[in-house]
Amino acid sequence: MKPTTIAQYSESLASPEGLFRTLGEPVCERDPYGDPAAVTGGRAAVYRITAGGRRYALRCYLHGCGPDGALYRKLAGVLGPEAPRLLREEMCVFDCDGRSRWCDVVIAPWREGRTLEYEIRRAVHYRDGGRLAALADRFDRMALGLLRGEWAHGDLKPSNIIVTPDGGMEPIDFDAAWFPGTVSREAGTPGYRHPLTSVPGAGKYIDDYPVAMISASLRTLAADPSAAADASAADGVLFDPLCAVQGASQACRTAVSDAAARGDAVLYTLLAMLGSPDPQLPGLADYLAFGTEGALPCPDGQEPSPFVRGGKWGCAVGGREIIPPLFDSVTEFRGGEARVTLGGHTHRIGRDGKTRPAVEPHTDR
Amino acid sequence: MYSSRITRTERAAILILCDRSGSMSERIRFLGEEMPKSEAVAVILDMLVDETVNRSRREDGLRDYFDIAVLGYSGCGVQSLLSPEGGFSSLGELYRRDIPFCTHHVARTLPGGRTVTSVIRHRRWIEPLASGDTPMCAALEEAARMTAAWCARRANRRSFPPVVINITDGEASDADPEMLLRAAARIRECSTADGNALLLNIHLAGHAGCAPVSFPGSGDELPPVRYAELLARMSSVLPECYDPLIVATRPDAVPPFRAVGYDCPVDELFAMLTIGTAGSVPG
Repeated sequence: MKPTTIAQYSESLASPEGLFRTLGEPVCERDPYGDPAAVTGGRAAVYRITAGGRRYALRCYLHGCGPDGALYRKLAGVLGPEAPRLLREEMCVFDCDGRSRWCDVVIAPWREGRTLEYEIRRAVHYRDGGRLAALADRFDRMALGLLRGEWAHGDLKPSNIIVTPDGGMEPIDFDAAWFPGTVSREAGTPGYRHPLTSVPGAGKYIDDYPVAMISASLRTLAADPSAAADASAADGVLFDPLCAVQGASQACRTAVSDAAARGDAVLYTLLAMLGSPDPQLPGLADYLAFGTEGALPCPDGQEPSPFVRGGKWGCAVGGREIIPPLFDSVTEFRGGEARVTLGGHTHRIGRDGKTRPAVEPHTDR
Repeated sequence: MYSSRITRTERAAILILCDRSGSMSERIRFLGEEMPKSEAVAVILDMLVDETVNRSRREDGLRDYFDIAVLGYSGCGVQSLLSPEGGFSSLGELYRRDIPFCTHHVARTLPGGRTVTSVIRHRRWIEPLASGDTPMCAALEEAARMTAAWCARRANRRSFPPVVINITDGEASDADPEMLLRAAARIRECSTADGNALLLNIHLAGHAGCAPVSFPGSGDELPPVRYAELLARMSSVLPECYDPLIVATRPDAVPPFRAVGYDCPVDELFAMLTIGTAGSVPG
């Protein structure tokens, strides 16, 4: 199939009569010149249309490599009636020689809101750390849902996430999704994926690194929105994956140092994960869960005990981990408190795992 | 190699060389109208610039993903057609210009058999011209100079390498084959850290009923014509990132593909340009 251009799709949407098999004559949102308004991504142009009284995102593919039918059937299984639907040979377009041909498109219920990318840029512009912290929290909650599921989005990045008017987040653009028993078609976007992520080798873990990257970036920006000053022109958020993995990212080193000084153990750990030589990041969901939901409850009258895993210290009660291994060191709890260290900085934590400034010299465990 | 994604900090460059010699005055049918070949090619280049702009639109507006230049070569010499000062223009710079629209009313036959008139609009970026000789070698030399300068810029050192596309309907009037090969090699020798510049040569058909060849693979043969062979030797072998785009149009084609088209009808030119400029995608 020849590549189809935005101009071809726009021509058909401008005069849709007879050019759609099932959508009738969709009404497309127009730009200031009166032409159908498209927002474009790497592989598709997306139009906002109204058809049959409902608003949809109409996804039109640009490079001749269309959507994968099996993938969209699986998506329907996990996302239900709101899942995007592949419509085979739905839309007729005309080539330069006047010949017509039918193209596959994908429609999805239109999600009101703006992309996370837009929201980040806006919050950074206004130096709104509170808004960035809220975005970080909502992102982590959405990411947790994905990490705990059996499938993977495959191309997580802020432009593929909609922030809804109620503050929630929903992923969009599922063309790179991975399901058990299938092979990844794409490795994700370079600004977010681990440099060693490859197709067809990638699997469930394909979302790990982008999640850590976006979460670490949002948390860093929430603490210091001006950190984006040097990165605002790039298409990544804040850190370059290749530099981070090579240990050559000054932005990453600065953020680690700041997180350690503040006692932000989750960010400290996420930033360390960005340097991982392996795209698979074990424990990521535990760290995000701790960051959003806090420590698991500690039974009354019991003091947590430190444990170590992978060189990092966490806390457990009766063999049950209540604080994941986030710290460089942890002392025994006394009176409901323990001392912890992060990057040479000492802090106190309570049974809830929250850090507070240290008041006394400590002895590393 | 050839794996850099286009971003605003690692932009891509597209440089088009357009034959505007006297032979381009030949009249052909395009978009249902009879017009000189030079006009049809200008319309297609207009559409390519528009398409490049449209592909760089994101939710927060246009992103400066590309530097573009168009050089015309004719009896008037080698002329910069997009930037009056010569050199590349950034997409943002082009977008801010007040460029008039051109409208074509095209008869379309709907799948049900009914005919309707469709309106195609594009900005008039390129003025058509068909005059005099074909100083292709001078154009290739200028393209090599511009490509080398673009690659030498610090900001572009990790970018996807420039794509240079030469569109012609005839043979050069200012050089012999060896000179053309040397000029083409100078373009292909320019490089970023992501690979060497890519040179695509597209020869437009001189008459109806030709057997066009585009992006020939290892199993495809160009016609046994010396000029076709010369254009092929001048052209790059396309890197793997182009393979899916070409295989999608010709499922039986076997890579590696040569960046050349011969006896291509004008109708096919836009599709070739679309593929030629899509080795890497923005964002």
